[in-house]
Amino acid sequence: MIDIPRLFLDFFNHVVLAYFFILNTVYLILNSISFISLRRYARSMRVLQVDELINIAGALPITLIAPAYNEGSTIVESTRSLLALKYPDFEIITVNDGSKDDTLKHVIENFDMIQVSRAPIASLKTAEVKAVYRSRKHYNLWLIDKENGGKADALNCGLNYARTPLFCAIDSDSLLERDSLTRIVRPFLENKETIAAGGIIRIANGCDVRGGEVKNIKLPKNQLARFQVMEYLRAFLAGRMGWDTIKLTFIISGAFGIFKRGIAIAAGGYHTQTVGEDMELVVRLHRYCIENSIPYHITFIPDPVAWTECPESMKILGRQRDRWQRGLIEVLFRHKKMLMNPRYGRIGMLAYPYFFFLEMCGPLVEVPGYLLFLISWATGNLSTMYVSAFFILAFIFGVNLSIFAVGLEELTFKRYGRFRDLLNLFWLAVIENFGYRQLTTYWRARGTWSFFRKVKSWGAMERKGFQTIEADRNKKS
Amino acid sequence: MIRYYWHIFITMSRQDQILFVLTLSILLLLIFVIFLAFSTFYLRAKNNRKSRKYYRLERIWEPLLLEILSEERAPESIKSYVHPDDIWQFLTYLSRYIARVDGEARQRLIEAGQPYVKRILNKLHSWRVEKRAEVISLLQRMDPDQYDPAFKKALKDRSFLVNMVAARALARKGQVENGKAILKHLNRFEIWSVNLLSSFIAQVGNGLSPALRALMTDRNKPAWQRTVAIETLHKLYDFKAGDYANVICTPDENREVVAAYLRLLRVIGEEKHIPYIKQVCERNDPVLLANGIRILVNLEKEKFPACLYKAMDHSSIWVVINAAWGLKESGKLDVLRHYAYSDHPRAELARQVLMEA
Repeated sequence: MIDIPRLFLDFFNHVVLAYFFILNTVYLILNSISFISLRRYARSMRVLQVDELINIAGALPITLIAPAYNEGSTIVESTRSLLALKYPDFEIITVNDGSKDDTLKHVIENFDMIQVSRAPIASLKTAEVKAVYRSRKHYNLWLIDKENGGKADALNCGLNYARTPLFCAIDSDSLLERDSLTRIVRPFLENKETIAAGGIIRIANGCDVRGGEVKNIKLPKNQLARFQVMEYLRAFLAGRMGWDTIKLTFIISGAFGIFKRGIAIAAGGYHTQTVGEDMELVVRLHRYCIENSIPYHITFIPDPVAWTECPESMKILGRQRDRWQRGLIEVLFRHKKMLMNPRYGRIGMLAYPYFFFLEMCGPLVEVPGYLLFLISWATGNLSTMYVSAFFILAFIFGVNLSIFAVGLEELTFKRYGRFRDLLNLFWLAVIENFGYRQLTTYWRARGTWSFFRKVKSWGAMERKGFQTIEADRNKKS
Repeated sequence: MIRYYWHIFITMSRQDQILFVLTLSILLLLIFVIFLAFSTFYLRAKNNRKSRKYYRLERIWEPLLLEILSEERAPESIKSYVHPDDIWQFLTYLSRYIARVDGEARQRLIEAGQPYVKRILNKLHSWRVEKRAEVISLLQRMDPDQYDPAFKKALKDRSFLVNMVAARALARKGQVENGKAILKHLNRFEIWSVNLLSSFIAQVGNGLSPALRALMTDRNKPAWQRTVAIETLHKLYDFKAGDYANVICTPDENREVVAAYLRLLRVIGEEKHIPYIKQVCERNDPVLLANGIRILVNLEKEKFPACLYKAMDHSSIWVVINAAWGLKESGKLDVLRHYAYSDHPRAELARQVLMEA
């Protein structure tokens, strides 16, 4: 007689094995590709410096759109950081998305804003605009006060008012490095087909912030934040760089990305019914350009940096990961037409299937995988040796990928200059495998569940604010 | 031997086979992880050592170069202070100084670098794209004209990066022949932004204008190349390019070419161009119309162009913006105010233009 439960266990164990093998192989390949392209990138930077290109050709004007919702604690610092950017021609549009706190008041008072007239250039549908303000201190700073409509709606609103050929979407709780615009604009100078470029996001927790600039780069003290430092290094230096090398950039982080305004508007702007609006826009741009036979280039560059404050509590981090997973599923479901569709070239045949089967379905394999592995072991279907060997392999693979990312950082940007931080990063590469990775898998699984329950909420994010030197002094005094 | 182990492997049970593969993978990965960790530490140590070394070397070279600049030391005397392993670093350091000075001082520094420049020439054939580009960049900063043939050859290199660095090197010298060489290989630069490319070429100077005008009017050339030529002429303020309005401002001409030409006319346009611009405006293309309106405002200040009123009702916001600015620039503030405080769909835009400086 056929033992159905055993057959099922056997089958699922094989699925887990196959998933594990494919996922880690892809990661290793991406890491290796990143290694090569990061080296090349660093060398080419020496040859043709972007400051020089801008001096010769002039700077492409950029509008920075910073949507803000209840960002009272960080808005002034982050706006100051934007104003201090080293770029010849840019304006800032802060969009107050119906904040319930004192975000609006902070901006108006700190930057001497007065109400003015400004007509929208595009007509993307958004929640009602209540007023437009302009700073009397800084001619390039604008504030749009509107009814709450969500982040995508606020970005669309900013996009309606932007007049420059390029716009840069940033989170208002992020700090851009002084020369980040100069760096991120480079692909637009070098390749006229470039329609979007993303920069790297790094964790600001634990670093000292002075005058809106991250000064002293250190690892955070909070353990959860430290794990995220490692995660971001892996995701950006190894993952996104690797995908970009094979010209398959699928995600540009909402915290820092630059786009051609015209094509973003033509494609319909940000989609307001998703929590993954940043990824959705990039996927839609791919789709729009391919369907309309427009030559295009979407890229990632590893050195323009936006520093962001990451969650330090399990509750908030869980909410964030839940939302990311929901966003991913919403985007992939919305563009399911692209899945394994040769019409969309490598995007449809490689990048989309990767995100669909390995990133989106990952938690659906991993969570039951852990459980069924244990059941198989408890019922004697798998030997202790086999289970141990598998877990050791998974652990070493994890360590491997993380250390690879630390190596890439050391090879190129060397941001964590203290030897102690380097040792800490190695230590993190080891210990994140015991608990943290499983937690993120759980949150992603919860996000999948939330998606099917049609949860649409963004989830409140608590901000501590950046660790400014000024604030430290005040505390001490 | 392999066959022997293979035989053992295939005689194992399936469970053991999997276990064996897992164990082997663990071992390999473990070795790899240890290798990665050591490499990272090594890299950190190497980087630190390197930066300490360069810092030390630069502290030695700096006073020597200052002495050469102040003519207290002969340029060739620096030879004993540059180890063959440090040539690249020395030239990079020297080139930073060369960029900051000119005249005789610059010449003295170039002389100091000459014995070493020859030693890096072989790197022009390096398999690494970035190395080839870096050598060209360095040679260009080290100045002598003798490397022009190498730069011209590099225009044909298979790498875009090398092409661009070579083009920049040639353009900077301001010689017409170099400019012509760049135009000859313009097809290599199709991917680069038109603005960047035209800015590079404009560095050659007005001597290149006849060749650019020829390219601008050559309908057999791709539209993007003609656009680059027009944008370059624009940057060179080439008034003679205005004589070709009858050739470019025609109904069947490429839209990008005409738009670029209108931008040029905005700088060099004269009354004689008005009929051509009006003809272009009749195409009712928003880009052409937006550009055309602004030139008409400048050229027809006395006879206020009636098309501005029509343009205020255009569906393209860019046309309306240009019309509103046109009204403002031609002193028709009362008309603009009328729009601003009416229920016209563009009233807010009119208010904005009125408020902006």
